[in-house]
Amino acid sequence: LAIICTSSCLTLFPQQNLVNAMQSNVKNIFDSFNDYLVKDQELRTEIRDIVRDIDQAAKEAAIALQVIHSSIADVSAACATARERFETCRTGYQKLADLIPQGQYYRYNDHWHYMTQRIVFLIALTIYLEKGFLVTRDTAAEVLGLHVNQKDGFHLDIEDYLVGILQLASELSRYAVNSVILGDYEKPLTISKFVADLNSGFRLLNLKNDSLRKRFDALKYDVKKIEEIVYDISIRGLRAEGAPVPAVAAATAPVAAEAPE
Amino acid sequence: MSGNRGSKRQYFGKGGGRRGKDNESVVSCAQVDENNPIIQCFRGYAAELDAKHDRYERIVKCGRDITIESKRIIFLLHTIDPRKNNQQKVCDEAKARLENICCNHFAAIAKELQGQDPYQYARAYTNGMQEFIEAFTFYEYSSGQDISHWDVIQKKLQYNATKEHNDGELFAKNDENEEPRDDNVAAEASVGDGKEPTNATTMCLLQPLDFTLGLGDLSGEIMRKCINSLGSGNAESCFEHCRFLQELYTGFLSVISPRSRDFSHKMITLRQSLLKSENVCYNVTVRGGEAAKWGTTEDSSAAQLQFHSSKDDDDEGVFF
Repeated sequence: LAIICTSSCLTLFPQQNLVNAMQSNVKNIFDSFNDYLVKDQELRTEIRDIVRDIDQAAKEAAIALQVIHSSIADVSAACATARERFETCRTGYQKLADLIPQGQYYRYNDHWHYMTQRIVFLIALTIYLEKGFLVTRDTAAEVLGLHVNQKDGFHLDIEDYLVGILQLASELSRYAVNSVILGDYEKPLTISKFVADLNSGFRLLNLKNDSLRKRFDALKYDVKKIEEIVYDISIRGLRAEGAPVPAVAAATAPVAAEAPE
Repeated sequence: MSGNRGSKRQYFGKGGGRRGKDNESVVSCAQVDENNPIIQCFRGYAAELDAKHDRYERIVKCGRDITIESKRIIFLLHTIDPRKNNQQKVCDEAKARLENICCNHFAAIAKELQGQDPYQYARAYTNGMQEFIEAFTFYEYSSGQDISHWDVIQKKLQYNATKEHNDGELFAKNDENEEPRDDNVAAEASVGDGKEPTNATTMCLLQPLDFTLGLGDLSGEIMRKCINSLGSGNAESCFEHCRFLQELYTGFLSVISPRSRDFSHKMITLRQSLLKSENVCYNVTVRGGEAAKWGTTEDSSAAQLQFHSSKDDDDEGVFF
């Protein structure tokens, strides 16, 4: 059927030159669309290679940091190892920044945003273990050699940063459990205070119904878990006196009220 | 497990979970410690996120307006009827309205995008953009012109921002002007054009993928036109339309691995439109224009039916 019609169109059509003109233009459009796609693919392949290298370094840092769950003494060594790996990530990000054309960050963003979230988490964990406070976005960007402001070029996206921080909370709930196992009864209290602060920080944000929001909704379970650990410790009198219980209790989730009871 | 039981007990103590929750949020608002460094940081993040979301929503709104107006223009263009000899008049009106979209709606988006990474917000107006491309190319097709390359349309979506320019905007301008060159080096025409507006323009980014998807939508309109012209007794132009659809289909076939799910969907729809209009041409050839119009035979009535059912499925329902 199609063949018959094609041939009849060819023979019956009166204005042959108009057809040719149209043909060349549509073909021209699709040819340049193909060129565009090929170039796009090439760039994406290059990006993927670099991302794989950074990912590898991040994985090594994550492995090094796992030791915190089994040994208190090795924490500072683990942090030092992680920091070395961050240097590798930094060079990787430098390569990416050179590769991505200006103003097209969000065009290729999908290749690295999961990875960036994980790296931000690792940095936040390292800095928490070392100094005990929350890494700011500026510092995290500085460690990775990224800009903070979008206008300056390759930057640390704010949502990637925030998701990374949320991952920190769930890792800390695990850390709290394990530090009790290892006999450190003070750690859960400081962690509880820290996560409560984080929680109230996130409450200041107006989140849309997106992936960040979904991730934030899981935070309350981490908070709850940590509060329970604090409760278990307090009720058995395992902790030293003078711990900041009121601050913890006032913090957030309804469960918090259990602590002073 | 024990945790669950604990929290339940506590809800009862407060007299209901709902109230407990309210209390809790009040407490946390009241006790936000402004000196806490975390809180201070998050105030900044909140402002930044809000600004982003607001901008996104504003662009979505513009995009919706563009979609609506584009659909109306397409509807208008379908009223072209050789018996009434109104092609010139309708095309003029369509042109005016299309230009109006460019000057108002797209200019508003371009203003929002000024100094931003346009790809960050591309999803907010991609539907409007596709609909606009459909209307624009349909206008060009209806008025007997060639289909423009996307560079030409991209150029229409660049605006001179003479009113408000300061250093920050000029800087951003350079960022954005990088794009047409990078994307379209392949297209000979753009090399000269892309460099020209380096200092005082803003633009609304047109992604080639959006353009191509818009062309895919165009096929549905051409198919309607093909069937309409059969109805109005203008049987010769059916072949013209059919021929163009074949060109489009060939073009779509030649595309290598686009990174889009919409694309394969468009391909299927395009193929259906193509088959319908080929069927029309077939009937015209075999039975002559009159017989095909009556739709008495199996084939042509099937084609008509298909046409109607597909209108319900995947089209906007503006026409008819």
